[in-house]
Amino acid sequence: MKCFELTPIALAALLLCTQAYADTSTITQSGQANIAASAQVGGTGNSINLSQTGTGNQAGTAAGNPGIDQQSAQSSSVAATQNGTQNTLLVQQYQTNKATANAQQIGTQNNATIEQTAGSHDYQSTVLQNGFANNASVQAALAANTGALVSLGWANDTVDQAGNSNRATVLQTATIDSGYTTYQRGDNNSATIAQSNQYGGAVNSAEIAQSGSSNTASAFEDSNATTSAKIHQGMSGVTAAYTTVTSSASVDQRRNSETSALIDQSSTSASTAAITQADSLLSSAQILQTGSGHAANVSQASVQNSSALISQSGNAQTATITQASGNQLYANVTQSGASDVALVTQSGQGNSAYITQTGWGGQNNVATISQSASNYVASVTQTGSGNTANINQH
Amino acid sequence: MRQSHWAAAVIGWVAAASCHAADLGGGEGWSLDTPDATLDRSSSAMVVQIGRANSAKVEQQAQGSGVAIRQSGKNQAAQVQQSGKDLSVDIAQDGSGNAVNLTQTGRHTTATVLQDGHDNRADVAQLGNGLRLVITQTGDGGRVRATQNP
Repeated sequence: MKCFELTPIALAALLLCTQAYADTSTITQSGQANIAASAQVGGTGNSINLSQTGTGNQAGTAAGNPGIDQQSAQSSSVAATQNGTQNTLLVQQYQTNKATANAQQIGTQNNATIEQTAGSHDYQSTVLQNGFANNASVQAALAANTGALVSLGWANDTVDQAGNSNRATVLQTATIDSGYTTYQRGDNNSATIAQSNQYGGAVNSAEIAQSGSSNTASAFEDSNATTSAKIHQGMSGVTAAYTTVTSSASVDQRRNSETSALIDQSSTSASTAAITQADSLLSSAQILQTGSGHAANVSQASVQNSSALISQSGNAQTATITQASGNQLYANVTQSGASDVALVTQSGQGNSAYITQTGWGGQNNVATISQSASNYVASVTQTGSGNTANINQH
Repeated sequence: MRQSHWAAAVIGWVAAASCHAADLGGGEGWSLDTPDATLDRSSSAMVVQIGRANSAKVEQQAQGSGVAIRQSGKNQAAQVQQSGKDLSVDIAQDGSGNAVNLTQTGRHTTATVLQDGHDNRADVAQLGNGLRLVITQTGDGGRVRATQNP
């Protein structure tokens, strides 16, 4: 009996017949008040390309307009470009693994929203906005019932905004090994990152870089992860026009296994930085400020083997470190200038606190260390005149 | 009797005083780089101030703890209040017009004050037993008032 044999030619023909082709959708609109929507369901390697030039164009977010929608697919991508004012863009990628969304808006009062949720994993999104009063929102979430795929899930989001009064919001929920980066160049910008309900063993990171005045940045990281957050305000190397004034930055990290936070503010005056770390092991917090009239605040509660460092150069700076209900804690404040105030409060065993106030012309500085429990070390070093050191150990 | 040690030992104000007791070793100087702090105790507080008109205030309520204060310059002030037992205080001032105000309450307490300069003042009060006090002033116009169990 002769067996059936696949010749090379027959095999190639069979593969061509069984291979799934990727779906591609390309939309180009120029003018005003245009509306575009595109949906793809299933498949592998699908792509949607959108280009709108004009004013008041919509690709989603309006009533009855689902925008750009990809569902139940593999390795799908969206590339959208809007050039004009008051344009809106909504990209939704559901149950799409290895999804990529790239949005670029040039103009003013534009709004971009990217949602990568419901069973998807391995996302990547990028929003580039150049103008003012733009709004970018990115939401990435893994569904809790995705089973083994969760261990592979990550989200990597980037928002880049140039101009004033821009808003960037990123929510990463129930993801693992995720990252987020925001760049904002201008004034009155705000950036918010929230990483919550992370899966155990996750290594997440968030970084916000802002140059300009009156900017706000906040990062929130919660639950079961090794997390790090970095906020830079007043990046080095920028022109004087981008000198940061009265900006604020905050990091809130809770219930993580290992956390680190860094706020770096290089500005002229009156900026605030705050780091809160609670219910975590091996936490570290660091605030670096240059200028004058800044306030730095680190609060650590129910942490172990953790450290808080504040370094300020300039006059009229205020540094506050509060470490409550923890053991083997380390606090260090370094200030160079005049009329600076440093306050360290610790409770627990084996804690140590160091305050150094030095610098050319350092005067009228105040250093206070309060410690309770046992086995603690306090040290104050001051140079200059009219300085005051207070140590209270009970 | 043990109580005999509780007899008041008011040294009073002594001009240009140099009060040595036991093992001070004779008024040697001190180094800012290697302050003779009592860091081997369970808890410790250290203040180093260089300049003028600075003030240091330390309050300590603990057992087996120590305080070290180093001040270099004029018109410096050091104030320490300690209570507990097995306590120690080590204060060294280098300059003029400096002042030390020290109060210790408890057993086995030790205080060492070294003032190098002129017109310095030291006011020390100790209450308890097993007290040890060493005050050394070098220079003119010094004032010392030392009180043990008044």
